[in-house]
Amino acid sequence: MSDHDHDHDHPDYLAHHFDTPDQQFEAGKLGMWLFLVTEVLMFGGLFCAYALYRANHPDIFAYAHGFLDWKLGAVNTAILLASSFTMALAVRASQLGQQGVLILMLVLTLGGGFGFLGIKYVEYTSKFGHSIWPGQMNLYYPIADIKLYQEDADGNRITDDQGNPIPITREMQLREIAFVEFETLAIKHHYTPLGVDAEQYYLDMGVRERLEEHGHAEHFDHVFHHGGHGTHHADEADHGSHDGDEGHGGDDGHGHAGHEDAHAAADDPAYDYEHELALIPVAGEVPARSKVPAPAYASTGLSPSFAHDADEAEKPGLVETLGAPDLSHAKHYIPYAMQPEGVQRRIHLFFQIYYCATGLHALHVLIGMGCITWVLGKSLAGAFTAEYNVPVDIVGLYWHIVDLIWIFLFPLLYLIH
Amino acid sequence: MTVADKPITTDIYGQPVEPKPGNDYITHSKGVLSWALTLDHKRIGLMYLVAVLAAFAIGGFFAIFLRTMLLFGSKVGETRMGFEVGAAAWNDFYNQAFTLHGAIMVFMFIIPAIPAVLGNFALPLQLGAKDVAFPRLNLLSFYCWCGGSALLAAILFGGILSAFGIAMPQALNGLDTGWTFYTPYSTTTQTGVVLATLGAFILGFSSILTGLNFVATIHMLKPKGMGWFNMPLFLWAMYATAVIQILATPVLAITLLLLCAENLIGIGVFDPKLGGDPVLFQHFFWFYSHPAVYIMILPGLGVVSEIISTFSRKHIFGYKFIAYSSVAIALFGFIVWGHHMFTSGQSAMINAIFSLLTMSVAIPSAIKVFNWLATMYHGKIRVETPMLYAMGFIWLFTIGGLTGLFLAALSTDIYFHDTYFVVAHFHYVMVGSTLFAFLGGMYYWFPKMFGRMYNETWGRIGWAFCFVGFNATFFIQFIAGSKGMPRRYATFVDDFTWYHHLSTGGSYILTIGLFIVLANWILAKRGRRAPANPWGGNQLEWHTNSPPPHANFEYDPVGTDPYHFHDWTYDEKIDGYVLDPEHDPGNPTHAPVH
Repeated sequence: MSDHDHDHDHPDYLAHHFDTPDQQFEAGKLGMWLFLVTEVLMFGGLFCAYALYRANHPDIFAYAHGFLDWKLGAVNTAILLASSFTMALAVRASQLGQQGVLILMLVLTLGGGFGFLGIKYVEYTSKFGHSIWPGQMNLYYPIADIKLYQEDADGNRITDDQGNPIPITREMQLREIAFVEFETLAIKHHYTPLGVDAEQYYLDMGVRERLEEHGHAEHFDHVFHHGGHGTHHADEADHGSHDGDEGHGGDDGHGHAGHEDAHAAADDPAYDYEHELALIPVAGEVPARSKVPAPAYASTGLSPSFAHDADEAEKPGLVETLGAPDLSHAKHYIPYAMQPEGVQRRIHLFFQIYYCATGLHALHVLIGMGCITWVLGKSLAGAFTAEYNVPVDIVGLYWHIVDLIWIFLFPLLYLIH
Repeated sequence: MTVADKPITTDIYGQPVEPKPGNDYITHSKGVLSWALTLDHKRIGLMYLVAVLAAFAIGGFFAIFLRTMLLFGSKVGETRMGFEVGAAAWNDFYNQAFTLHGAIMVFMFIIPAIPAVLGNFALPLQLGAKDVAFPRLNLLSFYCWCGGSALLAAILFGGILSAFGIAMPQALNGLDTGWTFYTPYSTTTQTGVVLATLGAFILGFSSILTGLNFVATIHMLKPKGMGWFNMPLFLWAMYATAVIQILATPVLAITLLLLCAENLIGIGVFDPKLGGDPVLFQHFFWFYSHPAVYIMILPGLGVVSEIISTFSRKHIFGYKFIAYSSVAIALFGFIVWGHHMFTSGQSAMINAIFSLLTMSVAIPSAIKVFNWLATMYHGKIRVETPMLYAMGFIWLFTIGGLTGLFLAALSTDIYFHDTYFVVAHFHYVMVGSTLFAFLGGMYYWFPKMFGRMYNETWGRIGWAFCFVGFNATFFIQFIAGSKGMPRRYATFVDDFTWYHHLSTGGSYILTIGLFIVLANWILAKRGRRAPANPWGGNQLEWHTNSPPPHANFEYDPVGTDPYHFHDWTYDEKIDGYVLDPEHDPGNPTHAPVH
């Protein structure tokens, strides 16, 4: 019955329900394009969520995107673009029947995938090292539901009478966030903290003490007394080594950070931050704090004119930044504790969207690499000829969409002003 | 003894064909594996048939169960069916029953029913093709259905066990969110939302793969002589359906993944307590699920177009209008989702826009209905079982469609929102229309699928039970809803007792009807052998034997006008239609092929 189809020139690779190899090839390609449409729509949902939250809460993006290292993102973009190029060359080689070139290009493409995932691994672990996890273990999670627990000096969880771990307190969260944001944003990425008396705030939060324990107190001083941009840091020999020091939390890190410090702050009635939060107005207004004459509170993007209110004489360290003519391109951030409650509560959402989008994308990279490995295996077995190379073409299409999605993700997540 | 009584079938020219084992796709090869690993679209269609009917039986069981609970819904405090009416256990059980009824019916039955069963079987045949474009994906799609359904079934049996007091882990503890999984309830309930969403996610893959396959098949495998505008209208409907499956289902996929992540690690994107937006979930969900309503109904519209024309013995009226209206419905379907959120705090402007767009769907729907009526007008109508279902479809679809306008209009929707009026409306569209189209299509293609004729008398009796039972169940619900009976309530005040009694009585009649249908199909195993073309259709599936051979056709068929019936003449001896070989453009020898 079906055998009667195979009596005339039907090549082995041609399925019985197709008349010609061309028809089979076109069908396969159409199928893949349709599948790519479904991929675009699936990521479209994430982009839609991103657009909604970014439109409604620009402040959380302005603050949180600073935690992403745009240089690593840019390198990854370059890697993926290059691998797309080698993939296109692989398709061409397969069409020309150049066996050796095909295998070489597929190996290079696969190498690009490994490179991308390697850098992704570095990025993720650097965030995990700061307790910036997806889900409830995110340092910025609303404190009532957070799943970060108090630990003793050895890193063991402290338990209550029933043996249950004790979640960190709001104060611990504030102190840890202060340290993490200062270390990441101010020191590592050279952002300038704006807001009410930032130096005093970080001192009270014990940030300088913790840096001092690691012998990096000078970073703290540089931020506030040498221009804030940290341009000076770039020359410092020890700077790079600090960047790599993600394990700082190993002994006194997040959550369990500085129990002694907690007492110090609690003893200082002048720094009741819970009280201060209540005083902080909606974004764009002047945070009222009697202690400081006028706050160095710069643009959040909502109220650019506000930057002119900065009292330049008060804080020489900030003057260089705030005095700059065009603040919209200055790298600065508002410390978490000085953000309105509505922003504080939502900052974790940026990281959730970041992890969902990049995680799903990384999964697609993995799938793509699996497909390339399969095609590579068939190429090594000599399955592809100038006449038959549909799988190379189709896997290539898939690899390009993986690349394309990243090209949208990169600016949306990493390059926010 | 006429030819029809003998254990032989006839080919399209009326010549007897000795049924030799191996000549048709059913007997082509033997063994469980030859079915489980088959790439033959017809066998995959049959496997889907068994699978979705099993799902339909389970979903139907829950429907009857909850309708029976509602017999006693006003007896709060008394003990009925082993529960105290209105107590927490009663309410929990009711919540689980309507959730599983909805989830199973929507994801496991209605969405795959017509595309995966009738589409898989008839679509390549109507194209004169040997198979769908991607036979392996087709089989994968079937196993995705099985995998997703297995997860839902696991939750279901876990829920039943926990109802009998056996402690279950949360993942298997039934499901009580309603099939819509609305947040934030779905992120706080102690039931198996994660497994259910994963199940629906995998079922979505099944749906996407089927749709993708059909689009590629229709584009690439049209036979010589068939262009876009002499394709059978079922193919236009399947094409429009497939486009929705491809464009809408991925959005559900990401929604369900986010919901899973929300449940597992608490990402909070949909949780207001964590700064998220629960209405965003509703938008995501309905951006898929409203088009999904058209995934459910469009294939039915295609089936009915075939049946109406064939059984009126008259060329379809307004071919292009019907074809384009399928596409129009598919496109409109994507821009009306907001009407599910009229009461969710959308702005008045957005509500008004969605209201207007929603009403505009009535235009292509009405185009179809009027064209069917115009096709029947002055036709030689054969009122046989498939035609009864098709005419029942028009009746039910019209009621379902027109009551949809009440829900599209803002002022009335505020009142009808979440009442039995809504329940009745979507059951008229989903069950009344889609189920009737499915049953009609099954009867229509039954002789082609199995090579046997069912019992016509019992076919009509079964239809009568279904039609009466369905209307008795749901028409009364329009009235109950307009009097204020809210949906998804396990108890109610005495005023509604009689409405619920009538509705439950109707559901029992419908159940009897469905069992008659099932028995009729099973007993047709011993029915007389079907001729190649019992109805005289000119679509290409009638240009081959019943059941078709493994490769579908003895020779490559040539596309003709599918609604040109005049070359087929009725042959009393075989109770079927035969074709004069001179009028068979596909026949290379212009003579019967043996």
